[in-house]
Amino acid sequence: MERRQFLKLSLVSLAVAATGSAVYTVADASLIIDGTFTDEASIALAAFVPVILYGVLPDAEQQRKTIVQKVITDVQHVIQTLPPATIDELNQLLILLSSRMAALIGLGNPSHVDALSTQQKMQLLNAWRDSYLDILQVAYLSIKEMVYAAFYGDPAHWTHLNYAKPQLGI
Amino acid sequence: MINDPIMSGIASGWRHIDGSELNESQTIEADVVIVGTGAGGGVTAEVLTQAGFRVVMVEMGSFKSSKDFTMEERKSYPNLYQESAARKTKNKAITILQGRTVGGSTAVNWTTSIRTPKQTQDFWRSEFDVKLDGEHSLDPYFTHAEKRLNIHQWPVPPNPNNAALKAGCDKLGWESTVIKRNVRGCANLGYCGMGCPINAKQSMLVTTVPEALNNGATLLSNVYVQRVVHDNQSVQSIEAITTDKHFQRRANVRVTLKAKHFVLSAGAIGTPSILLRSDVPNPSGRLGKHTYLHPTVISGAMMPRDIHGHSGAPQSIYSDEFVWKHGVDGKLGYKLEVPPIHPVLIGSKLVGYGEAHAELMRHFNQMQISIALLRDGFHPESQGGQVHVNAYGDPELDYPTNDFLWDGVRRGLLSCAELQFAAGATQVFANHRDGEMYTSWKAAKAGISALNMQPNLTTVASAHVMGGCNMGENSATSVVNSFGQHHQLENLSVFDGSMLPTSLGANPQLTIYGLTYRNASRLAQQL
Repeated sequence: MERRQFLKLSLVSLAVAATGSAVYTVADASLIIDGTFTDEASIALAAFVPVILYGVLPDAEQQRKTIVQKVITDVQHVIQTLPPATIDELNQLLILLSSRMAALIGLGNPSHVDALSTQQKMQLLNAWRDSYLDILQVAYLSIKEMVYAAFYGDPAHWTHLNYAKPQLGI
Repeated sequence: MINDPIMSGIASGWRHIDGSELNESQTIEADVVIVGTGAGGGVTAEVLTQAGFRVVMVEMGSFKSSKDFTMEERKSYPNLYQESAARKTKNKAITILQGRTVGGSTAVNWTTSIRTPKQTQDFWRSEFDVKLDGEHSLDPYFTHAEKRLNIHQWPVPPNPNNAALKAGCDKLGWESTVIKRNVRGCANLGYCGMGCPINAKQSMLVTTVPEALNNGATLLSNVYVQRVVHDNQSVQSIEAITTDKHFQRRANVRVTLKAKHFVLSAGAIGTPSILLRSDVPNPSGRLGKHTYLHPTVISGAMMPRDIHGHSGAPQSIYSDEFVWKHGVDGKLGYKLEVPPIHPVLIGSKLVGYGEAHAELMRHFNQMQISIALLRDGFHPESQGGQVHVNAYGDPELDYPTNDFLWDGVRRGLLSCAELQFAAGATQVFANHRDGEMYTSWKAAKAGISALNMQPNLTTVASAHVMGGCNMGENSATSVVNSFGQHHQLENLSVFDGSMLPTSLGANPQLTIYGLTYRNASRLAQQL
């Protein structure tokens, strides 16, 4: 059996043992439908966006929420153009994030990620970053890449960089 | 108003079919069908239409042009790049940047134009029996391409990012060269990688493809070639499927293409995957294998002055100090260059997150970034990756990351750091999970030498994909002959980067132009 497939099934087995039946099976769940996240997927990814963007998000709660929502929307725009196998992989990542499996594996604590504190989310990300399991390292890198590409792709955030694109004369 | 030559051409009557807007399946016939409109496909279309052949070009990307090139990565990556610039190797260790648009990778490359190094040509002669001498020399075709695409030494002083590379080389006594670029009327903007907004970059989009269309060729865009239909002796047709504006397949609208001769120019990864899906004869066993990447590592530096790496010709200096240092087939050599520094390219590739990442990005304008491109494919422990076709029929590249590669990665990072401190950097960070902000070359040397090198700990990227349908005169060790003719299928040619038997040690576009001008001219005489 291919290693990645083995790890996927092992994580599911681990999660079922830890959480009972409240986990989707690998085959059944689709948290990306026609290139759009389900609410569950949006909530799971949105839980991590403020942690990844810590240091560049404004303090005001409503402004932060608006930016987080825009990042989620922009990530979906790109997903709509990706090949089906990559969408499958992202779906698996979102299943991981939206289940209590994520915190169980990263922290030994079977909570939903949106119930974790900022500090706990950072610990989870660091645990995945430093994991010996490829799948968790890749999950960490994928979340980061998606969020930063959406955030810094938006000209509204280029003030953080003191950058503007050239204006071509018409 | 900047004139958009594509809009003008379409208005003048070019034959263009947008697959995303087709409602019914079609069968189209021509003398020659060319799959792909990049360096190989564009040149082939020009040569064959000039010789009077009826040509159809088939492109999986869209027909974007300068009106669409808004200098924003959020548009350019999904619109112009394979897999929206998210293509990676199977173990996710290497990000692969290739074009998916009319013009192919030439529409999004950084204009660096270098002839095939002599050492590489010698290796091809001796190891693969590739014909490159006498009447088969590439030199006249390089000269032709250089004239056609206005390839010339960039006369404008390097931007600060490139100037730092030169300053470091000068201080250390390392070789450096001013780059030749395929530009005409370049305004030194720095957005080559997002499609040239003023049509200065002489990509296939604004040169050979328009020439072919002016000569009566037909262009299909948003049409994805699935397979060639053959009887193990020759190709009868090509089967393709249209895609929507998001590049997703539209199963009910298909295109069948019939011709006397078929040219695959879908690029490395693309062309081998078409042939793998087609189950073509493969007695050499090399189809899809020996795919090379010039794996590229990234070193960041903070300079005491503004660099503004987003501005100015992105590449105008390179150093070949280390490309052949250990002989042609010794330890991995590498070329030193710099990339353009744009928000998403850098923001998504920098290690770290949160406040540490934010702090780095606050110094966006003081960042100098150097890259080392490893010359893979010349040593027994550097035999490249293998293209597979996944369950959806899409390609996937399995490129092994072994100790031999990581040794090259480490030495590349060390050379970049040494160069950056010599150029005046106050801090250097090897873009590695465990890397630190080194404040001296001594500290960087010790730190980088001790880093654990494994997949996904440091960023590795590729903008040059080569091989998978290698050329050579011996059908036991090659897929096509020296002139791109398939060894088993008599009316099939491969004219693109997948022909290369190894990587190059130089940016590939001029090599592909030279080979294709030679091979397509020969084909035109034979047809």
